[in-house]
Amino acid sequence: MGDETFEKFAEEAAAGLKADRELFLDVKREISSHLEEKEERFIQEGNSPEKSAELAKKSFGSPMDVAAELQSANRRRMRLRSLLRLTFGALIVPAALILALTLSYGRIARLSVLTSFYGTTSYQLPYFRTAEHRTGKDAELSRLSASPSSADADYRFWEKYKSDPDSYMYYAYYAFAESGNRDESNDAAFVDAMTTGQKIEPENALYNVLLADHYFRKGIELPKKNSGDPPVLTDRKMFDLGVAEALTAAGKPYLHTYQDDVLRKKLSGWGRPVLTEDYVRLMILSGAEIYPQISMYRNLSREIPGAARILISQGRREEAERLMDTWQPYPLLFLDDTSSKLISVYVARTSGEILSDQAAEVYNLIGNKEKARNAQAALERLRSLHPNREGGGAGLDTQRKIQLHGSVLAEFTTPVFLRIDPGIRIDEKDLIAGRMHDHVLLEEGAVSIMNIIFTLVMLGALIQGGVSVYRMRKVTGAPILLIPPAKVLFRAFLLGIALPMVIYFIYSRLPVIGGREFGLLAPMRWRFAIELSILIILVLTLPGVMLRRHIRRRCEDLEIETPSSRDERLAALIVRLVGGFGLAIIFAGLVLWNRDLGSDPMIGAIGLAVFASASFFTGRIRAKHKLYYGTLSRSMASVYAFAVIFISLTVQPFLMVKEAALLKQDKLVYGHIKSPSATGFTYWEEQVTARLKDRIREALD
Amino acid sequence: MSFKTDLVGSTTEMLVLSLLSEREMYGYEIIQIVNERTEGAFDWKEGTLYPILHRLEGGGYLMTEWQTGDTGKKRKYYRLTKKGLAYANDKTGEWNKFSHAVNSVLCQPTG
Repeated sequence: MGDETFEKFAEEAAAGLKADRELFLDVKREISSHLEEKEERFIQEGNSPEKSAELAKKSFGSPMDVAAELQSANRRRMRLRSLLRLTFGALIVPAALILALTLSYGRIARLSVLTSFYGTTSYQLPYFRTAEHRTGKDAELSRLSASPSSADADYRFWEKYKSDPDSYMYYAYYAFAESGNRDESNDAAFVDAMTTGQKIEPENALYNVLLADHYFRKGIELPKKNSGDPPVLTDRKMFDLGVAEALTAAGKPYLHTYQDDVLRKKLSGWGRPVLTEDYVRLMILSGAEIYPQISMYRNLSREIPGAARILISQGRREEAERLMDTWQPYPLLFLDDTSSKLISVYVARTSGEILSDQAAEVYNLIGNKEKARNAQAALERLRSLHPNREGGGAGLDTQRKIQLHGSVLAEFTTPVFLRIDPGIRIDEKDLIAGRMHDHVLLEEGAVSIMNIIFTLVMLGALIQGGVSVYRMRKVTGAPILLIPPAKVLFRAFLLGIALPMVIYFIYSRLPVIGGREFGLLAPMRWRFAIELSILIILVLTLPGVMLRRHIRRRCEDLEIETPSSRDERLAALIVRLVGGFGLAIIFAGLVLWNRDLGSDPMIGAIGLAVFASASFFTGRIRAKHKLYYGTLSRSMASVYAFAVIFISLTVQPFLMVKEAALLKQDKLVYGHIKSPSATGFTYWEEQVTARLKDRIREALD
Repeated sequence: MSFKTDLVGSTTEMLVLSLLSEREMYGYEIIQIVNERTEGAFDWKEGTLYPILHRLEGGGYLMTEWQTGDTGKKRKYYRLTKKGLAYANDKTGEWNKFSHAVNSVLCQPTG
């Protein structure tokens, strides 16, 4: 019969379409099929098979003429299809790759700021550290938070804003930084700097305090804590200078370091906090501004009583009494308006306790019983504010409520406030925002990881497609890479990826069966890991199943050999086992054990290794049906490119908007720090701090 | 009787659209039906039909689907899209007007 000659004829007639391999094969098949039908008719009319074949071809016309006509007829369509291919190959895939890298990887890197924050506590959420976190972000954070120790930079900052009406603040800020930076070689420069400060702002006690501390360090040697040893005079001149500065400082109206003001100035270019990491950064930076002040309180509360004891031992009782009289003004100076964070007020209270305790002893040595009694009474009042002696019982129920239903961060910050201030009543609905915030952060991490997995699948599929093209480069009419219609690709993406994800997001928010509890006493990590693994397995297998059905049918239309269902099932099973399950298990394992997933090259290497092994195990089956699998790989790449774009442009922004909204609502932990000008880290901290400050003031009066 | 090529050529597209507006058909079937209905007067060559079908498909007027026929053979069926149906109606209307105009000249005896 004419089968072979028909093939040749059809190939010649469709030759003009070879640039579009699928179209070429489709038209070739159409012409052959037509010739076969016509041949049959001629046979039925009584012609010999040979003659019938000849007649069939003759009636079709000259293959050269038909080729030219077909090429002209299909030119527009071929151009359009080639444009589509180019769009997929050259635009969609790289676009997906860029989006995945900037949004998913970028989001993980940003969230890692949070990991770093939690990392300093005993509790950790399963976020993922990245290489960027360990290098760039950390370096940036430490550079910014270490500013008080970089006195040169602060001096330059002052010089830059010297003409500002507020420049006295920047000088004070620099002077404070300089005090933490001084060494033996620049004593004179330090004293000069402090003297200049006094000229700039004569009423600020800061410069005298810093000088007093400077001179006392050189003039006396304090005993080790609780050793009972007396302080030792090492340099009389320095000691006297220290006493003079301490007395001057106590007589001044205020003590300001202006940390908050300068911090505000420094952060003015940062914009308002929106996402978790913005708030965390603010907390880290604000915290870093407070801690250096604490050392100043601590030093003076030990140096002043020590100096008074030395004065007594020298018989300078009157001077000793005058110096010791500063036990009361000092803690009050520390409680000025800039002491807005709980930690500052706490340290001021502790300084007050040390000073009043020492004052009682020193006054007894001097013989002033009344002042000793006053100091002792103040000490008792200050001690009664200690959290261990108050609060407790009433706060325990609330604390348990937070442990069960609150966010992780609320669990370790809020109980502190509860113990300090028994007046705090936290409603269960106040806990919802924080708990949902934890949940959204976990989802963001998971979605980002999923996007990275999709990107790897996309790249793996492209590599497999490329290998198929290479292997089939010498086969006539091949390799062809069929492009399933956009409708088919989109359906695979919609039903295979978007739908399971949407179902998961809805389910995880359902009360009772899906609702998340991230309190420490309600661990959900196993369940979360299992649910997430199931989701990942589904989104990695469903699109393949749908595309396979379409591609198999298409291959059959074009008489392209497809693998047997057994081989197909086996290959799919291997890919699923090695690929889907492998990745899901690695991911679930990392979530459960909170391992450092962050070595991103490592994730990439694991992913590619998984694909490589899947390809290796299915190699025999794939080699037999290069065309089918090449097509499948090519289609999968498109579907996962869709998926990456979908996640990057819809799911991730949705979660980020949700996160920002929850942060605003979270009264317990975030929300309050709407700008660096907020006086407390959180709403409750501000309340507790303000009340505690008043009570310390009352205790000292 | 056979007609001049340019006369047939100008009507081929309209005839294909008109036939496909009745039902979906494959290439060989279209040729057979045209030959039957015109009693061989047109005697279309396949080389003429397929470029027209492909052009219409490329223009979005037709869609195709491979189906297995009664004989077990696979055939590529052509079907009108919505756009194709509207186009077919336009073409038929245009032809009717044209033929009416031609007929009215041809049939009107000159005075």
